[in-house]
Amino acid sequence: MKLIINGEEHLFAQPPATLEALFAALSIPAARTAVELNGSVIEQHTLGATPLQDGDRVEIVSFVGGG
Amino acid sequence: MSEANIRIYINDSLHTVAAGTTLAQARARFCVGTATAILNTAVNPRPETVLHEHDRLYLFAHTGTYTDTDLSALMLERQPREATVKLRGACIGIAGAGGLGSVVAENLARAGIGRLVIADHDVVEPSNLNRQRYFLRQLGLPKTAALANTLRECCPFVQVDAVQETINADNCVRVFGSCAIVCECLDAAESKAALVTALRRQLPDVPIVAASGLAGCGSARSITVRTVSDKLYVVGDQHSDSAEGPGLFAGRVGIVASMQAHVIIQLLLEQQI
Repeated sequence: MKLIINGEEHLFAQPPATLEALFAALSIPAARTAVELNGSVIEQHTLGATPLQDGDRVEIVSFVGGG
Repeated sequence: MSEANIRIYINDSLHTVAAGTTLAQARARFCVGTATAILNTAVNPRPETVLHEHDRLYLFAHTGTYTDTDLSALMLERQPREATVKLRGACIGIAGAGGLGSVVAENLARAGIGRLVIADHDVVEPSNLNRQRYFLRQLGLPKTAALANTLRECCPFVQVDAVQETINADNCVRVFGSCAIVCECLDAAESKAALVTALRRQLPDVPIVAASGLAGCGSARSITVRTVSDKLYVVGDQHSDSAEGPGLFAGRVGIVASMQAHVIIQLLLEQQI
């Protein structure tokens, strides 16, 4: 499976079925991220119910603390 | 009108003077005593400089007292007038009034943004003063009220709506619904992510300028503006986390905040980010 993550192509031998599975595979804490899938904003609590397909574009903004 | 005359703006009022009039002659005619002259944003150009049609001349007499109209114009005379007019018509939301928000607010107020909606639930504490724009006399005051007072002292023409609330997914539309752009200036990573997600879903046409990665003493060169889309910009180095203990310093936090304010002004003036 090919995904475009933050503008870069990534190939997955074991395709993540959902955004939640993708986050687990990349070890990204979902609660600290803002996510867009093909331009649509996805709420954190729906990541497990959001399926991924070959060629999807995922934008992940990982926030760290400080302000 | 005779061709021997030209029209110039002096302190924003249109005046007719003879063609070939110099700065020195205009100064002698329109201002009593010493004054700083600003001609089309240049400070004190040579007295023999010849004025041209539609030049903008400000004569800043050193009297110490000004009418409101003069003060408003004089304070912003170093910015191009077209920019000032656009910025004056804008309303910007600022979520959080800490190290980022207090600096963003001051930068935007000084640029003449017409209205700022500033939301924060916190009060001013001594540990804030190493980087946040507050004063000893404001310890214990709500940050929004303290910041509104400070902005009134330096920029009395900016309308400040001080919202003493924790901003979140439930109230962000009520608080920021009238804003052209919202600046995310929160502290905790989870709060930042939740607010940006909520704003993008609930106010999809409103650009957000967020911040991530500003802690510690890492290189200022690592701080960039990430354009996620034309509705989401993230300023910072994207990884320096205050939760990991590197500390927060006025300079580096201020760089990120000033870049956030700059991106907002660029968006309002339709500049390339």
